[in-house]
Amino acid sequence: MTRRMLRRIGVLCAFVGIAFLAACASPADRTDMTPTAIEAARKFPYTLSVRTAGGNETSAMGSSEISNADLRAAIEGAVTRSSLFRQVVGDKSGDYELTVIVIQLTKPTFGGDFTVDMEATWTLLKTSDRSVAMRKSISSSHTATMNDAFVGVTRLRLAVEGAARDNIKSGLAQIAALNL
Amino acid sequence: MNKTIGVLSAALVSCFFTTACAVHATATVDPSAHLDRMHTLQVRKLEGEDGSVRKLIAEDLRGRGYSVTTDEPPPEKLDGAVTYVDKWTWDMSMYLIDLTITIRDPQTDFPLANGNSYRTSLARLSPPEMVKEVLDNIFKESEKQK
Repeated sequence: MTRRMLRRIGVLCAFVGIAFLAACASPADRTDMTPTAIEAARKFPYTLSVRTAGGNETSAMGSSEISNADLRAAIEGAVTRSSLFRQVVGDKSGDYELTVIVIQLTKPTFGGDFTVDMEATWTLLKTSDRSVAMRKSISSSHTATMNDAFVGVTRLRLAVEGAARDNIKSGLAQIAALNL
Repeated sequence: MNKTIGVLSAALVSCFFTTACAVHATATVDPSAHLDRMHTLQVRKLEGEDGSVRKLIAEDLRGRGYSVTTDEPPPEKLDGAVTYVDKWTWDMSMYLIDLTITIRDPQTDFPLANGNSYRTSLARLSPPEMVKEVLDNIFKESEKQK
């Protein structure tokens, strides 16, 4: 092989690599996971701290995941927006402690419409005596179609964000129905 | 030219090893769960599975001091129900690539604790070792919450 041909192969490989990285997964966005239309039936006069677990970081060569930090930010944003609790506080210093754990996030690997199923546990504890105010497993599902996004990686991310958004909406609705 | 071929080959080989060496192990325990107060567990059989992984999970839990049954229907006095999802794939031989074990409230099926181990081919463990890894992580996480 001539030097010129090898150089062309190298340039071609570089372009393929760039195209590959450009099509790689991005994590579910915290803003897009935050439900927009929330009407809290109740407004509790307590402070809330939020903890999340079970999430994963997204690798470029994997598929979109939900990180613990982003899920927590989305839940805190939704609680603040709805005024469900008086205030969201950091650490474990709230009157109530909400723990949301992602148990399962089922994603397709191939197809046109992408449906993502999510199961998360929502546990609300009263901080003072660690009594359980609520303990529920909430499942949600969201489908992103080719109309939403043509590129598969983007379509999958939209489906993941939608499943998380619906899960948060359901979880907060369950909390709003409590008599705290 | 030989140097170029050598560099390209090294890059290709490293890409191959990088994608084939993924290891990921996690465990979560619900803050309302008290795994240390459990004594009797049931390991439920997965639909369509031959029961081999169920046996390994039951044996490991017995080794940790739990009274474990695999019988259906379960006994009346049950502290937890254990479910699992195992995924196998082939690379020169069949191996267990992904194992998720969940300990649930037997009445409500609420997931009290969940552990997962994902290991690609070059980082593979035997099924008993994968079961031990997942359960070790679950119980370590439970200890942290005390």
